[in-house]
Amino acid sequence: MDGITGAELIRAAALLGAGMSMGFGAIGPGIGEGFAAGKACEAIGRNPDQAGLLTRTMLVGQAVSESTGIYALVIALLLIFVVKG
Amino acid sequence: MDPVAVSLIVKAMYALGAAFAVGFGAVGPGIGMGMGAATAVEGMGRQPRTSSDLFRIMLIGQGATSTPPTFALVVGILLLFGAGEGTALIQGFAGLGAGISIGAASFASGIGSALPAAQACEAIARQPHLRRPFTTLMLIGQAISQTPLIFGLLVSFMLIFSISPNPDAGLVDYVTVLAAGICMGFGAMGPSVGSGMAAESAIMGIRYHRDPEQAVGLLTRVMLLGQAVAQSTSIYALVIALVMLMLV
Repeated sequence: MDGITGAELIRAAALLGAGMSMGFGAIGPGIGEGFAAGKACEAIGRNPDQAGLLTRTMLVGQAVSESTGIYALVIALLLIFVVKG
Repeated sequence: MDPVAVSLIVKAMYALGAAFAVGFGAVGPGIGMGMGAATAVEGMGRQPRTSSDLFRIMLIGQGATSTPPTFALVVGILLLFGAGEGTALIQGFAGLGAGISIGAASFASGIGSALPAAQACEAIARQPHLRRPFTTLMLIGQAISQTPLIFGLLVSFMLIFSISPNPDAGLVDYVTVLAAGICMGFGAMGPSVGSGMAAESAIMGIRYHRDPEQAVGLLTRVMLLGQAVAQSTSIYALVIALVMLMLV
């Protein structure tokens, strides 16, 4: 292909990077949060009296786990809207 | 490039996309349905009396697990026969992106929906009288686990049918449609598997509960709450993919 400028190349790389950032960045939090939810269900099954405590702890843990997903989102948005090449 | 060459290249890229969709998308569900069969057979070996219940739940679980590869097959067949003649190179990249999107999502949804199915077989083999709550929880869990798959299918259809065949599109547009497919496909993987793990452990939680009939409502609520949080990253991926499609 002819006529590809440096700016176009950078823009293309930034967009590909944005897709990969959000795509692969979503894998970890998704699995991790599901794992936490599952373990909370298991623990509530064993000890139903502590359901409130377990649910709260699960949500706090998931919120922390979510942070990497939000980093990926922020980086993807930066790559799409800020990096112009 | 003359127009004939462009249509041939687009056709080749559609074929690659179809191969990725079905080839990659069938791996997870294939493993997953085998896991369901394995636990069912194990349970039948231990408790031959439960074999008719186990056979039924195995088939229901496997039926729900075969939704992801069916979607991948639909996209693959559309790419091969339904997408029409390509007139611009960008359609080829969009077809490849569509295949990656549904292929990766189907891979993970197959594993995600097989986890609760396998656990339900195990649970029914041990506590056959609780087969109703186990079946309900398995089906709810599988449905949630397949939500990212629907997002992947949506992005695939948008890539196949709503990309305008602009002959002036350049490198940036080609990469954008491909990246939208990668983003949604791989972004669907984590939430699918995670939601499946949550449903698997929720079924296990009912087994451990001292009064299982009472536990169903509470555990379903906690499972749905946890799965909703786990789904958030797939929604981020959908948003990014849609933003990218709007840029083209």
